[in-house]
Order: sequence, then C-alpha cells, then structure tokens
Amino acid sequence: MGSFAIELLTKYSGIPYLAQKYIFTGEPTQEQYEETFLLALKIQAWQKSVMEEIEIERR
Amino acid sequence: MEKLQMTGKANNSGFEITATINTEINRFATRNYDVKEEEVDSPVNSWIISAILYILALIFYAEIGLALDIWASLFILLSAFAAGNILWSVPTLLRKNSLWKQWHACEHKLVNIITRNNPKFPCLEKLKQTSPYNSNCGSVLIITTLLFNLYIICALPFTGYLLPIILNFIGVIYLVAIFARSLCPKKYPVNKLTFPIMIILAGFAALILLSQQQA
Repeated sequence: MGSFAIELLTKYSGIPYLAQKYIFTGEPTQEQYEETFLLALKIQAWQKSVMEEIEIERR
Repeated sequence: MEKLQMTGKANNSGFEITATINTEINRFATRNYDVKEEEVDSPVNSWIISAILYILALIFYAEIGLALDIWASLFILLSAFAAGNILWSVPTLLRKNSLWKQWHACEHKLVNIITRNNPKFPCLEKLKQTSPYNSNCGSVLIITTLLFNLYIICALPFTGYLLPIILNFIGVIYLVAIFARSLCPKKYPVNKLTFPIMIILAGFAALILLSQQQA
C-alpha cells in the first residue's frame, strides 16, 4: 500500500519530471551544448578503449 | 557487455561526470568546472547547518507527541528555521535560466545520450533533443520525499498545531535529503537512499500517532 502510494506520487504522477524540467534545469546555450558534446565524445572514446582492454584480457 | 555507470555534479561554471566501467573509473569535467569553484550544487550553503537542524528536528519530532504544549514554541522556532532553509534556495531555483540550471540540463542530457544511445556515436542535434530528465538526480529525491511527506500528513489525524507540524515535516524531509546527499552523493545512488529514508520517516510518523493516542 505504502510503496504503491509512493509510486503513484512519484513515478506515475510525473511531478518529479515536471519539477526537474521547469525548476531544476534550464535551456543550455549553443556554447554549452558544444562543450557537452565534446565531453560526450571524450567519454565515448574512453569507454571504447576500456571495452577493448577488457576484451583483450578475456582472450 | 560491461555497463557504463555515470554520476554527475553541476555548478555555475560547468559540470563533472564520473564514469565507471567495472573497476575502471575516470573523471570528465567541462573546461571551467575546476577553475571557479562555486558551491551552488546544494541549495543550502553549508551542510553542517543542515546536519545540526536535522538532528534538532529529530529530537523535536520525538518530543512532539510526549509534550506538545511545552515544546510548541521551540517547535515553531525550528519550523521557521526549516522554512527559512527552503526559502534560501527559492531565488536560485526560480531564476529562469541560471548558469547552474543550464549546466545541470547539459549534465543530464549527456548522461542520457551516452547511456541510452550506447554504443552509437552521439551527434550535436541529438544531444539537443535529448531529455534533461534523469530519474537518479538528487532533485527527484527531494520532490519524492516532499510528496511522501504530504501523503503522511494527510493520512495522520493531527488535531492541533497543524501549521508548525507541516512546516517542520517539510523542513525535516528537505534537510534529510540534503544531508544524505551531501554525505554520500557518490557512494550510494539516490534511488537506493529514498526507501530507507521513507521508512525512517514513516517510523517517526507512527511514533507521533502512537504518542497522540496515548495522550
């Protein structure tokens, strides 16, 4: 009952989603997007290298 | 395939991401994140203040059912503190496009695009279209606990001093959320903390109810 109420209030009500969208985040600028994108590329490159290392270790 | 786990933190100057794959951990940050360290991630300036208020609030919580009249004035005072604590963060949160909010959105978008589109190569347009919502964000914990708090208040048959009780209840949950997050933001994911906190709060609510029935 309690857990259902929590689910109802949070997951299904969409209130945390709306709060995060309108209160806790804003619309980034083009420069911010570009910097974020560069970071995404760096993370992906790192992820790829780690995966390759793991694959080599397995063999 | 090994799962990539990411946790992030944003401030006025940028954001940082800690990525983990198995035992491999790496930290990624935007250009100016470390240059200007402004503590705007937490709406409360110092977690020490939060911790003190939190402990005090818990003591008053236990006392409320036993001697409401004696503690009422102090209780109201504490409620004012707690409410003030919430009000402290309101100007930052209501500013439409503060830098913190923008970087916070960037952080969420990055985490979402990497984890959802993995292993596809991200593109800038896709990044813009990605949702800024992340269910593991600390803000979800705050909102969730506030909502749960409201649910408990509605369920309990309080008779007197309703306003201070509501104020204090909201304040305590808010402080618990901030305190828990400031203590262990990286060790434990937010969604794992939510349930134990709610159990503790439900316990306190039951204590109040029991004390009221005995009186």
